[in-house]
Amino acid sequence: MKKAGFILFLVLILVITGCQQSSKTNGSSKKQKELRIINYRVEDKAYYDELNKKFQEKYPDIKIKYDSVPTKDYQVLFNSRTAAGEVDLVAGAKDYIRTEKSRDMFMDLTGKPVLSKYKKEALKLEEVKGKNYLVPWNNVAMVTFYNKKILKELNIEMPKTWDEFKSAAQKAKKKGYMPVVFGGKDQWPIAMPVNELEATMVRSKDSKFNDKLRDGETKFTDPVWVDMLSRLKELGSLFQQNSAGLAYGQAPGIFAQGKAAFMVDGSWSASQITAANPKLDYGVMNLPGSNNADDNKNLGVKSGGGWMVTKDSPNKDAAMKYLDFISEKENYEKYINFTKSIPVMDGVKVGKEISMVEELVNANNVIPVWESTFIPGAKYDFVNLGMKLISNNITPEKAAEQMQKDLEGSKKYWKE
Amino acid sequence: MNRGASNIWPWLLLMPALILFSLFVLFPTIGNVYFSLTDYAGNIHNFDFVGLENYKRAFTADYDGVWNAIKITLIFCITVTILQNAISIVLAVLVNQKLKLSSFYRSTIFMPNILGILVVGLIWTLVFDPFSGPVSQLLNHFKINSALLGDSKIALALVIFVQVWAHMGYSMVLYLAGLQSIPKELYEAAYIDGASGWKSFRHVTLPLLQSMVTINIILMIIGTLGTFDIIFVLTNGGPNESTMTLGMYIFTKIFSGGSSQGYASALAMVQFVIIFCVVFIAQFYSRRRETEF
Repeated sequence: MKKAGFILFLVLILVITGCQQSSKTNGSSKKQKELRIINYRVEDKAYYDELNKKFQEKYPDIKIKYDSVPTKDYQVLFNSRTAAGEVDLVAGAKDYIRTEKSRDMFMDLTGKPVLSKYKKEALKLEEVKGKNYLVPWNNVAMVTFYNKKILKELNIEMPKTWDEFKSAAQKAKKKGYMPVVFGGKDQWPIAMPVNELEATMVRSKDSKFNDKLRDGETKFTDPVWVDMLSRLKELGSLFQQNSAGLAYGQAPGIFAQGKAAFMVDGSWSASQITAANPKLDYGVMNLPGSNNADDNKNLGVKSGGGWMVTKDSPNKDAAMKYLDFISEKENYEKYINFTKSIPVMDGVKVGKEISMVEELVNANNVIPVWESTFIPGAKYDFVNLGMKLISNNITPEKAAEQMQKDLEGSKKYWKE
Repeated sequence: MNRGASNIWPWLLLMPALILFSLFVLFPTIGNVYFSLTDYAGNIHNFDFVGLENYKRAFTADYDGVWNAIKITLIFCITVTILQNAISIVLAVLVNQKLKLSSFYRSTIFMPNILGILVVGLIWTLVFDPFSGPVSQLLNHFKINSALLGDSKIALALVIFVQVWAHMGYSMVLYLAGLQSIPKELYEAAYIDGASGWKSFRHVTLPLLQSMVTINIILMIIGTLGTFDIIFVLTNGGPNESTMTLGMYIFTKIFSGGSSQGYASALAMVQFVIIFCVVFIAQFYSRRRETEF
């Protein structure tokens, strides 16, 4: 009897808690719509907490459920929420919508009024097959930081060609400075020098080089690419000693201490440098890979990410209202100055470090960064090969051959 | 007591654990087998069955990368298993002596297990920092310059060292339990027969520790063949893929462009088969050795 009573008790508890849960959801759904948002930028949480509060004051019928996790955990959150259909607004980037199957999860936003608030060039960068799926946040550029004080001390101008850059770095080394600080321990930062050199040495010669790889009209073994890889190897010789042991996150700190003449990185590091040493006199430039100054005007820029609306969302109206709200100039300006990134909306007032990067972007020929031109599904093992190259474990010719072999070997996995 | 009701109770008590095991281990495992046969890349509503294509890709287009990862995983596994066992046995014998502060030594050696892999990784990242770490400073005194974890020639050795350091306390505790279960009379008998010191260790201690050796070997093989976390924190698989274990390789393939979760699932199945085979062989030989003694 006691046992039967115990089992009955357990069943009752389960039923009661289940009913409570159910009535809670039903009750709240009658009153408010719940807009479910996920983001991988945990560092922006303070901004979104304030913004979400303002949004809910304006739209009391919409309740926001905002979750952000670090980038490394985001894919898990993204997969589980999209698979369960429990998300309306998703933080993402062009990488998320490269294949037809991945695009199929999101709403086509082409022509929506909210996009008209953003710069056409920014929307173009986000475009896939002529369509827009993202409401852009900002842009980031592949840039090289230089220490103005060191260059002044060495009595040299900002380098505009490769030879000038190399000579400046060598002079800095002789004076006891790190010529180019590079944090290679995490491997992936090699992407920055590769992207910057590719823009000035490959697409400056043939802007369609990457598209032509598809039908074999161009190859990684072409002289233009081998030259670029040779330059990467040469650049590697200018990195500080033991660069492969320095964590990526440490490099901006070292640069901010005034110990290095140059740092090949992304525009996002400007905020970290300024935060570490607000008094540092530094500038941003294009890494001059070529000895022809005109070639060095190609600047790789990519979108810093954006918002996508899930296609099956029952709250599309609420999601669009939210996107309109964040796209209001006042809110967007706050976002840009909070994240210290390049705005993709006209007339946004920005701080010193952003305006410096913005000036560089405006003065150069903006092209999509090399990585964003990849053939979906193709194999590009450039991180591993690039690291081998700068540590003298492979020749530029062999690295180029391997890249071409990987590309051709993965042909059957290429996607549209 | 009613016989039928008494039969229900064990099942009822097992039920919560079984449900949790099924939810978090069994179903995901079955799901992984299924997804390894698809091109699933995040969109649960739109993916296709591709048969064995992902497996074929692992051994054709991506053969170099997969084989390198398997090779490194095996080197890592064998070296860690041998070193960790040898060091743990020695430590267990030492802390089993009647020493002052023996509890302190035991706790100190076991401590890295409490810290967690992230803390262990961060500690050693700082120690091996080639710019300001103590190891680098020491090497500089001898005019030796090295990027340490950034040097492809020694990175794997350093990761193995950290792995052994972090886990030897756990093995030591298992061996200590084994040592304390050996009757003292056996040592006395061996002493009367003229065996002491090394001979006593070789002919009494080691044979009677065989079951613990088997347990430790199996646990280490399973742990090291799937290692990902310590590599992720210390080297991220680099430099030049010199520490790219299969676990780390799978992780990079989940999120890398040109890959899919379906493909990563297939690699995880390959990893499972490798672990299963190695554990099976190791267990077979260890058990045979146990019966020999």
